[in-house]
Amino acid sequence: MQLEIRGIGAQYGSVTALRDISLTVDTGEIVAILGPSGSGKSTLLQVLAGLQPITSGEVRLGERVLTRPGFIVSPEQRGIGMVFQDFALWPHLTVADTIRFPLDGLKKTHEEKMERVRELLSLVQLEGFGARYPHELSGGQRQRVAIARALANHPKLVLLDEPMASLDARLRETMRIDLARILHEQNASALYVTHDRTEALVVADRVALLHRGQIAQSGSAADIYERPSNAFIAEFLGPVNWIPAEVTAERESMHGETATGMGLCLEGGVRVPGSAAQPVFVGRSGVAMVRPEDLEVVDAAALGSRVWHGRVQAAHYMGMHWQVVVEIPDMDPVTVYHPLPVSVGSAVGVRLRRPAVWFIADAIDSVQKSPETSAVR
Amino acid sequence: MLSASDQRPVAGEQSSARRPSRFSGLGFRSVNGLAAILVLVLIVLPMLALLIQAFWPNVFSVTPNWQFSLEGFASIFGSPYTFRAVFDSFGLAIFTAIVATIMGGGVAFLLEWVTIPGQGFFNGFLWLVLLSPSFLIGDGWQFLIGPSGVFGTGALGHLLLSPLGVAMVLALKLFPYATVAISGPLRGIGQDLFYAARLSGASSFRAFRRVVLPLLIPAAAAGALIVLAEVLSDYGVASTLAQSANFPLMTYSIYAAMSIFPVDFAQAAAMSVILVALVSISQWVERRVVAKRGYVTRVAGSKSLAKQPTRHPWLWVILLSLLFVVALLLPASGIVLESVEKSLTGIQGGFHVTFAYYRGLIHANYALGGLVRSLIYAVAAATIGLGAGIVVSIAWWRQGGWLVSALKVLMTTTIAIPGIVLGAGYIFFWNQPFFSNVGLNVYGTPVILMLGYLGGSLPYAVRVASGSMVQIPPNAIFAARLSGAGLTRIIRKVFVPMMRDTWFRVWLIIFAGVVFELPVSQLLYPPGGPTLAVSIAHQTVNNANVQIGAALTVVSSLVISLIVMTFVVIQRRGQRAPAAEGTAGSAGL
Amino acid sequence: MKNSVKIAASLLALAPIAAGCGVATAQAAAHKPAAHQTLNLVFYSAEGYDAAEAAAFQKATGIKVHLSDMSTGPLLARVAAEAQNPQWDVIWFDGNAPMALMDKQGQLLTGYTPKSLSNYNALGKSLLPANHGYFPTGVSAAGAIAYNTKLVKGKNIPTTWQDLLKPEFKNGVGMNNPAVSGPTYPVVAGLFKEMGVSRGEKYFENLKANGMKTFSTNGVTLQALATGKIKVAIAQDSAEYSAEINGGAPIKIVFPHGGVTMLPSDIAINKKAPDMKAAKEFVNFVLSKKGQQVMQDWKAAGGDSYFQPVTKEVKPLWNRPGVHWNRVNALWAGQHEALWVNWFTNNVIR
Repeated sequence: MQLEIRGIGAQYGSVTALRDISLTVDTGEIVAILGPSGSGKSTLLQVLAGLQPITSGEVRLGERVLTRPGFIVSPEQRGIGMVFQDFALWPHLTVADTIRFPLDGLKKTHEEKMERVRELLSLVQLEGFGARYPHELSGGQRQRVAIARALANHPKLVLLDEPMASLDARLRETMRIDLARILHEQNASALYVTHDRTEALVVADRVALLHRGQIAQSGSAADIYERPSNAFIAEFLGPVNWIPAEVTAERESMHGETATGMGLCLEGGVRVPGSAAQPVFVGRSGVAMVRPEDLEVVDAAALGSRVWHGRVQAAHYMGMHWQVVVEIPDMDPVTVYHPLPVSVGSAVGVRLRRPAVWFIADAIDSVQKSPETSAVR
Repeated sequence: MLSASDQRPVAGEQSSARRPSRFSGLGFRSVNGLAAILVLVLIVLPMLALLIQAFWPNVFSVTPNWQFSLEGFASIFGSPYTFRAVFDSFGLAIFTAIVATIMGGGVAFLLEWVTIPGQGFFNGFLWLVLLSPSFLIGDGWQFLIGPSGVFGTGALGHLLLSPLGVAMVLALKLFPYATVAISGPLRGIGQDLFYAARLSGASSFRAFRRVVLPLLIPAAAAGALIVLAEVLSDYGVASTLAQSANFPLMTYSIYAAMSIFPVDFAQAAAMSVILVALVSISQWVERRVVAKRGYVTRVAGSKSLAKQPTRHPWLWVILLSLLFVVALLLPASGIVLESVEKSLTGIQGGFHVTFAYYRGLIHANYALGGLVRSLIYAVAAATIGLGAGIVVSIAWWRQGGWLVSALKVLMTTTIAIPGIVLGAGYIFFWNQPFFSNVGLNVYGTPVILMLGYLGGSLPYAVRVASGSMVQIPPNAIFAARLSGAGLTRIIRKVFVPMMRDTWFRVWLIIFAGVVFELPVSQLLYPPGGPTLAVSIAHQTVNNANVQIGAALTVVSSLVISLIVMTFVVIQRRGQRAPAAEGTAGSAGL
Repeated sequence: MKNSVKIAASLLALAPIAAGCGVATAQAAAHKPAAHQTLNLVFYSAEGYDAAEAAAFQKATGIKVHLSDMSTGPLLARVAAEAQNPQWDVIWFDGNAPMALMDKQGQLLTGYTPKSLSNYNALGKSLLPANHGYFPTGVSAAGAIAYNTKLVKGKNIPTTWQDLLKPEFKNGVGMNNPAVSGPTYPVVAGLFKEMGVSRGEKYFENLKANGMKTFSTNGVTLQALATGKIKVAIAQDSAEYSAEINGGAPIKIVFPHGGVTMLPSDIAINKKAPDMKAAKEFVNFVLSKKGQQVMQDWKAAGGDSYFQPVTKEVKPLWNRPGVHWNRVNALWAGQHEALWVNWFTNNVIR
């Protein structure tokens, strides 16, 4: 069953919490809503759960309208499941009773219900834990109980509200994979709300990035990671080096030049934040997006059209790689992920691995690393 | 985390938009309506019927008129005695509240913070003290070392019959309210908070003083407020000890104003208005104190602290035992002695044990029948009162608005209104010719007594029930709704089990309060159906059969203690899982 | 909402439950015209013998009696609170001052002459108001002096009110608080009448200067006397006598030369009595021989049985030796009650 969000807006007094949001989630698809706090994630979730009204647009689940202005199907009649950030387990119910709770409203025999509970327990790998109370479980186990409850009565849609937030890092990594598997096994449509980009990229089939109450960009994980439509999205998804550049020529593709005179092959388009792509034209200035993993440290003597020369300002061991900050004359320092240690102060070259870079013709201002302050409350 | 309360929808351009309440589609609207009716009919209207007479004294006279007058207030401040009573009462209430909160906090510390032997036993005792009626304590002390007591009025007697003595007796009776209020949050203090302080170099003592104590301020303030209201409305001790100590108190003055003829309702009403004002002011001060900072006692997900070992457990056990002996066993033994003592002379003339008064109970009018009736009333009032309290708290659950706040304040302040005033208010209201004209004759029937009991206990039930309900995480309810549960199933499957322990306590307190209730009963009991306290009063006052009254008190106390203990045992047995932690919380219970 | 309905239903269902368990039938139903054949008496009283009297009357006549026994204070408060819509048929308590006031306000039935009225002796006749607004049923002394026989002996035994001011009774006198104890205000009013108001006030101030203690009720005062906390007490004589005879207290009673205030117990019918017939029959019964005998059953009634009869039908259980009665005009006393009780509260109680 398809969740269809059609141009919904929510205005509370003078505050616009959501603005013209459209999104579909296909059956069996996991869509992540990614956004910083205050971007409207919670409001969107409340609208979908039936707690908040909207002022325009509509929400449908299959053929059924769930919410439109002046009309709300109440939560208990929506037939959707939800996994809460704090799990919201009832302290007085055992694991089995908790999972059975959503089934109690259904016309099923006791045996059928118990069968379903057993099924879910095995799905979330909690066989033998049915008689335990929440306080007797670990964090990860609690989360799996919450997932099982959300899935119990075969909901057409599952909402997940920062479900990993209260787990420790290691658990998070395994649970991400588990969660994606479980959701896919149940063939449930899921809307996964998170502020953690890695989570969104790993769990979701598709990611929609929410910013200031509207969807800034949506697409596959790779899409928005590699081809963000503005600087904010690019930074939200991961560290970025911004290299100011100007479009100098147009042949089969765009070509540009940085302040240091390096020539670049540019992908992307001239974009004004929040607007659709416009054709690139020669003479437009903007920034090239270079992620640290797109760069490598090379010998100071190395030559090539995609090499800068500079001096190592700092190097931090990050486990998988070293994070190296290199000072380059006439440029801001760049951050490079490099597999080997380099000594601070040494002269090095920094090579751009890829011939083409993503170009955003934003105003330089909006590129300044800015924490989201204009949050919608 | 979902919290709908942050974002209140405001009707925008879509004027047709149904403004969905938080509980749209759950039938909460009818709950709201029912709650409003309960509060209005049980408390607000009867109260107004009496309080209005502080300003319009003649609205319910034989020849009614709407002549505005402040003569009630004038008579209070014009008479040195009543004037003093106002100040004495307030001073006594504040002093007692402080002493009782310190005592209660100490007991909470010993019961919840450290490990000492017999904590379960002491906990039970705490409840016995909480549930015992104050006139029993006052009478017991009076019989032992009062002006007419069996032991001489030595230094102890003089102390007892002083304002300090009155305060001590009241504090000994009321400290469990503070203990119960503080215990929940103390039990719930997160270990992180405490260990963070220890790791910052604080000794265990300093960590307790600097971190734990400040976090308990709201709970202590809530407990103190309840003690204060209880002292202001107490009649049991005011009419026994305080009276003998020549220590005028407001409740007693109110009783006196209503005892002389013609009855001075204007003064009684004015006095009640002052009582309500005093409690409101105190409540305002409490809110100010509590509102200053956050008092989250536990960071989400963090475990609560295990009990700490202590160096001298037996010292504490002895101290606690002494406290309970003084608070309950001594005064109770006074009543027991009174009931088996043959003559009025007491021990000085040689102690002559007789059980004649117990045998006398069987044949006496106004004896065991009252006990049976009161037990029925108490069970019914506790059950319905709890139900009504729950309905009102659900309706008010996380709801704001000036009306709800005003009603909340009003409800708390009614705790301080003495029963005799409440009772008169019920007569004024329910005995209106209007009601008999429409065939609603509740006055003179058991129904009005029930209404009176409910009106007296509802504020308490609501305060505790709503206080504990705040601690239900909203998502726990929301998760149930998304699981397809409607209002009834949510109440049955989520509210009730999570609140079970708190509600059980509320039930017990209403039960014990009603079973020994005197002032409301005297005014409202249906002719021919005396209650327990009315029967005891009949024996001790009108009939001057003090010993039969004492025997009746002893028998009743035993029966009631037995019932309470049975219920507690049953409840403990039924306890499979921990309910929501710290549910009693800062709610005041 | 199902639940709310349930709660409301259980609220309504409760009344019959409570009523079914020994509580008499609801009075509201009792006054329905449909229940015409069975008479129902709603009876408020503050007398020790009221329960016995009610039982005897119900047995004798078959009229159902719904008794509310309470202290005089709550009784008066209840009657006053019902002023606009009175539910009671008959009231009965000690002290004729409130009766006289209520009579004057027109709340009481007047002009009724019960058959048993002829039973009155001279004392009874003298206490009956001309309009028959209320009926005396017995008298006692509002305040007689009782002393502890172990502590007060021989020539120290007080014989006049002034004796209580003597140094040997320093801190040794006790009496009830007239603001709370129903039968005590007449003591104050009586002495004011005998001595004059200003000398009366002076007398109580002197008592206080001599360390007089005040207690809430007869019971407490007499217990203090019995245990020797005080040496002499001013209390209702029937209670004193009961404490001496039944309570085994070492006390003796003195009727001082100055006289004691007569405290009549009065019964009255509501002018708007819901069940006038039952009310009239009850008053008639109380004044009958049978009714008077029930009042004297001290085992059931306690101290109140030691009253001085106002009828020819019964002999007193106790002949008050050497009693000299002071009579106080009931209306005069009633009209000054608030004033003088307030004075007493502020000057003697403190």
